[in-house]
Amino acid sequence: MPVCCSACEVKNAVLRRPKTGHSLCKECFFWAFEEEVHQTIISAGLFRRGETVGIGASGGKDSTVLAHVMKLLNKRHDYGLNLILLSVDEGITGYRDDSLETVKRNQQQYELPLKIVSYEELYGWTMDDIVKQVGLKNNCTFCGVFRRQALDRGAMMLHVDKICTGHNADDIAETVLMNFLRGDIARLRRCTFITTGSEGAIPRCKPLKYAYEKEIVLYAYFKKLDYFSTECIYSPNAYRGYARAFLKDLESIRPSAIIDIIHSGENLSVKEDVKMPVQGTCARCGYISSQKLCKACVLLEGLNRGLPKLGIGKHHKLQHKLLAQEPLTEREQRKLKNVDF
Amino acid sequence: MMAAPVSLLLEFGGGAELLFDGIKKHHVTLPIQTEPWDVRHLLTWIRENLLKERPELFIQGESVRPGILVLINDSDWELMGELDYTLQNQDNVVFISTLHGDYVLPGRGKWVPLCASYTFVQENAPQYNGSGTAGEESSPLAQTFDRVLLSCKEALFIP
Ligand SMILES: [Zn+2]
Ligand SMILES: [Zn+2]
Ligand SMILES: [Zn+2]
Repeated sequence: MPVCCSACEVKNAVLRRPKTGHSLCKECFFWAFEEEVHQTIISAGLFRRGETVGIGASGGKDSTVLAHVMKLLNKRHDYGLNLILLSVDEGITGYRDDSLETVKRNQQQYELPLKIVSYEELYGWTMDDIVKQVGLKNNCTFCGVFRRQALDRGAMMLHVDKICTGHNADDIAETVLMNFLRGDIARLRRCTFITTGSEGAIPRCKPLKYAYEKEIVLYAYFKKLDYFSTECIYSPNAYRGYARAFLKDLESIRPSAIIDIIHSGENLSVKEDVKMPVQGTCARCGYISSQKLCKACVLLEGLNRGLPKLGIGKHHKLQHKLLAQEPLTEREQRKLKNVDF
Repeated sequence: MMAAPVSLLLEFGGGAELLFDGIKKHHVTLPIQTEPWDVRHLLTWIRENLLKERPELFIQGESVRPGILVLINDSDWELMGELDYTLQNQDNVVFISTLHGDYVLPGRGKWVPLCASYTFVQENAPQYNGSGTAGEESSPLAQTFDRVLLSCKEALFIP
């Protein structure tokens, strides 16, 4: 009954790899998984010797596996990198406690320095305070925007050269699908890049770009890595949920679907005459933004002015007033005040 | 001949435990039945006896929802025959969810509709019967296609 490992032909296989269909034993799987990440890093030239690299650590499975593999490969292949774990504390009562505990244990297990930056330090508001202001219905807008910027802002504070995140093949395929369905050509092009944000912002890269979620979970399981399983409670949105469910359905029929979608995204060529939005930087905080003020700064301004709806929906017209710190009219204020809870 | 009772250790992880009152390990004994117990039967039994809420987040059709990994005695069930695997006494079956955001506040063990619009449409997805396949069994791909259409419509708020 037991299936033999197709690599060493000695031990019993413990999993079938979705990418290749190979059946591997634990040791051969670990080796294949790690060396594939190494190949990804080398072939894309992700790092240079001497760089300080912040590993975005949430305590979840992806970032835990990333931290483990980065530490291991840095040693095995002598990358010469300074690795640090970088965590964000959103300030949600009872939510981060467990995951931050996990990150703190990871710090000891992997002997990597850890820096936790809080929303309070970064924005002056905790997520709990924001929810009090805007209600649960609207908080997705805030958690999405603030979360996206938090790592960058934290990394800037710490003078990190690069950030790497635990995004895996499933995440990227899902993003390709979503951008495709939305017709968002600019993001569709960008989302398969292994490194993003070279100008101004700190470069971000995804060493697990070609690693399947199934393999990441099994790697963590077989290595008995310590991770926290319920990540991102505020982050799921309807759209992502559908794209994810669809992707998983596809994978169950044909496992290579995930990598196929990534390749489709990578090989899409965009016609010369398609207008791409011009990327500028936010006048207030310097973060990349297509408007004068980035989304986070508009949301913050709304919170600080007691007008939580500012930034939810489209309020481009008000941008110049915000920039000039001018007061809003009665009518504008009334529109932005009432929030449905 | 009656099969002997089968005792199992069932484990739920990766967030799937939240569908089972937050309890990760369940020692269970399956009742004696004439046919041997396979994983297919086990899933039905779990649905009827252990699942506390939102069964559609755990079971889809007669199998687990795609995105939930299954390990039998620490081996990928894909190597063991999946639904057809015949359970042995003292087997260990592990279910790990890989799905993001199962929308639960940790420690409170209740579903909180933080993102209220999130619902699944898989449950009663209609059968695909277009493009000349009438009469044939609808293929998994066709069914998936149907679900996608429905999902996209829902997500884009197309009535
Ligand atoms: Zn082997
Ligand atoms: Zn949300
Ligand atoms: Zn800004």
